[in-house]
Amino acid sequence: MIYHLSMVLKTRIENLNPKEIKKLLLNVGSRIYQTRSELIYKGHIPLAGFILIKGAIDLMQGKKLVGSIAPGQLLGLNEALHHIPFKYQAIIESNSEVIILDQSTLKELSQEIAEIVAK
Amino acid sequence: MSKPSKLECENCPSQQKGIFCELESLALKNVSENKVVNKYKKGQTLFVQGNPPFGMYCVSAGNIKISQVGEDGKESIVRIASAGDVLGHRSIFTEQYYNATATAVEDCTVCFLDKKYILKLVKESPAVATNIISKLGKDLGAAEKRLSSFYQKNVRERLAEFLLLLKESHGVKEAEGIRLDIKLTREEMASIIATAPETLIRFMSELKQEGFIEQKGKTIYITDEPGLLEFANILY
Repeated sequence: MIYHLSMVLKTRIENLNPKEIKKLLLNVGSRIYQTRSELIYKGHIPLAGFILIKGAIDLMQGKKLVGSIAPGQLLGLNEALHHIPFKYQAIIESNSEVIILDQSTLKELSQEIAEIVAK
Repeated sequence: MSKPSKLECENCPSQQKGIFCELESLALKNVSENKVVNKYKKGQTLFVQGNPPFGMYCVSAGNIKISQVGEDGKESIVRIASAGDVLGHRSIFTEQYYNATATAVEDCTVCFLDKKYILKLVKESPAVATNIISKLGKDLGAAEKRLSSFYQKNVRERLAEFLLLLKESHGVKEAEGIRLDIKLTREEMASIIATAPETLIRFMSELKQEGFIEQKGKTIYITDEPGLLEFANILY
């Protein structure tokens, strides 16, 4: 059930319309990473879920690039919500903009989804 | 990948030194449920200067260097954080981006609590608020002391003072003297006291010759604390 909720939450967040993104930006706010840095280390539990607004996030396996996160996509939500170690190294490029969905925000959103599902 | 075993706040080795030590068992359990625990390998960064903060780090085990990079690209170490210390607490209340980088100098265990949760905890528990203010006050005091030390003391005195500070935070009494339970490179030590590594090595030799310290491999022992205190020109 919990996993199902996180999938619903992920789908819900990834399908936000521009108006909803604007609302989320007003409530949570976005942050700009000024320096290229590790956003999530391999084997670490992500400190938050991230929605990329602008820029790029690379997913690395050692020195090998295994994937990229494009603007509008979500990173680390399921792992952050359920304390699951991340499989890759996520590196954010400088000047990338993200919405940070911290643990408290994720829990609030999950709660809202759970209430909608329960109705 | 399997879930790592969770470090409960109640069993944390640094619990008595942390900001949550006055919390009741139930409240501590709530903190445990809301935190993220990660193990950082030597050289991994917790956060990077110029990046946005969104919570507070609580060091459970290990040592972390806090450094700033100047416009010339030179790194200077501001302080060493160890078990029981918190990092990023200032940014929770100021909305400023990180003005320093935190890097593990050895394998570390660090807990993370997001800003929203910390603010809620501060509102609900005056003890946590008081402890955070106390930490901020101590940080400010240490920064002022360090600043005045740069103006008033020469490199010899600063080195002796730094070794005495390490004795307070990382000293372990042994038969040979007080062992400093921290492994810093000569470059890192030189950066902390704002000197060149060559100068640091020269003065370390001087301290050894005077019998104030001893070195076994990379481990430093303080063998004459009163002598070192006098050498550091510390009058209290």
